[in-house]
Amino acid sequence: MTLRSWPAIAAILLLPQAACAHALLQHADPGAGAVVHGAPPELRLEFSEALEPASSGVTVTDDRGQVVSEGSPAVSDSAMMVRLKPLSPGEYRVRWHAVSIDLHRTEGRYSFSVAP
Amino acid sequence: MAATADAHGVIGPRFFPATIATDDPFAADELALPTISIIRHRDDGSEVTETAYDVEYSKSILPGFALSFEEGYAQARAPGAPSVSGFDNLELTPVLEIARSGEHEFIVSLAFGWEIGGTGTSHAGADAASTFTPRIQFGKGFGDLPEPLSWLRPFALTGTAGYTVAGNGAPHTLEWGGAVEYSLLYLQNSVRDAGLGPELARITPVVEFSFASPLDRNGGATTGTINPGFIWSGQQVQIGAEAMLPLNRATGRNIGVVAQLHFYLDDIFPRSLGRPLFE
Repeated sequence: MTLRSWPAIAAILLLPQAACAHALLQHADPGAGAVVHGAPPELRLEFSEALEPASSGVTVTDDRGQVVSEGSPAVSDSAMMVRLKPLSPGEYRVRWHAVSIDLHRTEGRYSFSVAP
Repeated sequence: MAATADAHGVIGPRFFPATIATDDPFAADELALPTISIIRHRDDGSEVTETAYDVEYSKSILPGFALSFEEGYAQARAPGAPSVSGFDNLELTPVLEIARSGEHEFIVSLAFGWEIGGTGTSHAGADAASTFTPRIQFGKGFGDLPEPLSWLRPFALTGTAGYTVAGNGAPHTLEWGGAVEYSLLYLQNSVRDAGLGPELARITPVVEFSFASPLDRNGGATTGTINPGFIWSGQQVQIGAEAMLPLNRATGRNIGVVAQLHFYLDDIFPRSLGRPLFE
């Protein structure tokens, strides 16, 4: 490593590495505390940052703890979507975790209800 | 796959912004530059206006362990008298997180503040002797409250208590305080979508309190301030501002103000300066 390489090394270390940050939930459908009339076919979460698909996930459970989301979520850029089984009226719990492309992890949980 | 890391101030589904008047319990890569406070108080019968500028840099060494460096510069002005200004002593503080529970939104850390004597401007009041302050700090979000109390879930509490030992014979002092926070982001994402929108949800109304209670040597009454204000948290920076209300007459009679610009270095430099030195 020569003296001439130090400015390049300093630039790499000190320049902000693109506009990336931890992923905050910005929009959910169904959202927190929502009362949905009729069974929603899917749950969609939108975040503030692009996600690492392999490290991000979401699970929806009913009031008995049974999983009602189907399979792994589909992650596209900053959005995550999972299909839902036909939901009966009742309360459902969402638990999600997201890893942004800068490898910071965030998580969250909330409930929504399905009404007849 | 590279290891993930918890984002700064995040424990489970709860985000704690960096507080201004008191230390939060996280060991993170952060830079507070600057923190500016202005307050008027009586000193030897004169009304003195004190303006202070502070910078604090925190660097994570290992996950959950960080070193913090803090330096300040203060100017004191009184009518008819020359202003006095100078640097505070440099303060070095290691912080170690000792307990975390994402499920209960709870974190505890230990810190040891070392105000290095003789490193500041002596004629501006910086002491030649060092001061040591071991501290315990915690943060607790109330997201685990039962359903009938779900409207309280956006609240969170941070607290700190330290025992100050000064090398100059000053009274031993209990330095204590904390913050009561109401997270609009938590309300929006975990309790009820109130239609706030992503930008408004970034605001955290907060009331901080910062007190010093002398414990011996006729140190006098507890003094301190109660600081209502707000913190806006962006993706890479946060801005906060608070009023400083004196606790009692011994503290002063005038309301001060403090504001801070704070950088989340783990988001700005996620692959270099914003990661622990050792992982």
